[in-house]
Amino acid sequence: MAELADRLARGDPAAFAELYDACAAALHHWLLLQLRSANDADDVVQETFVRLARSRKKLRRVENPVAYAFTVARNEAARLQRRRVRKPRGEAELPALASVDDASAEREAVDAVRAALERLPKEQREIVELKAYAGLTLREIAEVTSLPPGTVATRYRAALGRLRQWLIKSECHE
Amino acid sequence: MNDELPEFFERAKPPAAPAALRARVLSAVERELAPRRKPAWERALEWGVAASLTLGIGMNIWQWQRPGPLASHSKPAPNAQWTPRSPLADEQLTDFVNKRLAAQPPRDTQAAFGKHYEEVLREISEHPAG
Repeated sequence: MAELADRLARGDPAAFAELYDACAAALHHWLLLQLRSANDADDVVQETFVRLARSRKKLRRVENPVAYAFTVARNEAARLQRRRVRKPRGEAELPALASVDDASAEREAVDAVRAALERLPKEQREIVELKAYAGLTLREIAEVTSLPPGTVATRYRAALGRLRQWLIKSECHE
Repeated sequence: MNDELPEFFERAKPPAAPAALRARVLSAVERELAPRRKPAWERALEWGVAASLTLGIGMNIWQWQRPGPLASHSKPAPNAQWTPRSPLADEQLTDFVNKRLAAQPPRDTQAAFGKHYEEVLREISEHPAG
C-alpha cells in the first residue's frame, strides 16, 4: 500500500489504474446505494479520481489509498447531494448485486435485508453499507467516517443486532 | 438468517463498475496529471506585471541617485561653508559684541545713529572670531 501511495504521489498513471481496479467496483456500487443514480455514481467516481490526481502529493502520507478514495468519494457524494434535491431512499430502484441470482430463493433474502437496511439510522446504515457492500474493514470505515474504531465497531454490532431482530420478525410474519 | 448476516454480505459482492467508466475516469486522470500549459494571455499578463515592477524599482533607484528637484526636497543640501567653531572663538566674539554695543551711540542725528549701528554690525560680521 505504501508503495502504491508513493507511486500515486509521483503521478504515475499506472498507479491510478491500479487503484481504480482495486476499488472502483465497490466504490461505484456503494455510491449507487447512496445516490440512487448510475449517472451520479459515475460522475462522483470520476470526480473522486480527478481530485486524487489533483492533490496527489498528499497521497504520500496516506496509509490506505482505498480508504482515502472512499473518504474523497463520500465528501463528493455529500457535495452532490447538497447541490441537488435528493431522491428519497426507496423511491429509486436499488442496484442489483452481481452474485445474487434473481431466480433463486436468495433473491427474497436480499430484498428483505435491503428493506431492513433502509430502516436503520443513517449513521449505522452507512457503516453497514461500507462494510457489506464496499468491503471495507472496520479500521478503514473508521478512517472514511472520521470516527473512532471503537465507535464504528459498536455501531456495526448494534446495526447487525437490529437487522437480525427485524429479519426474524419478518420471517415469523410470513 | 440470525447469524448469517455477515456471511450474507460477504456473498453479496458488488457488480463491476461499467466498463466504459474505467476509460473515462483514467483519461480524466491523465489530463489532470499532464503538465498544464498556461494560456498565452495569462503568460503575457504575468510578464507585463513583472516588467512594470522591475521598471518601477529601476526608476526609483535612478531618481534617488541623481541630484534633482526631488532629491533636493527630500534631503538637506550639504553646507560646505559651515565649520565648527571652538568655544574660545565664541567667547572672544561675545566679548567684542558686548563691548561694541555698550559704546554710546552718537546723539546728534538719526542718520548718524543709523550709520553707527551699520558700522557695529559690519565689524561684528567681519570679526575674525566669527
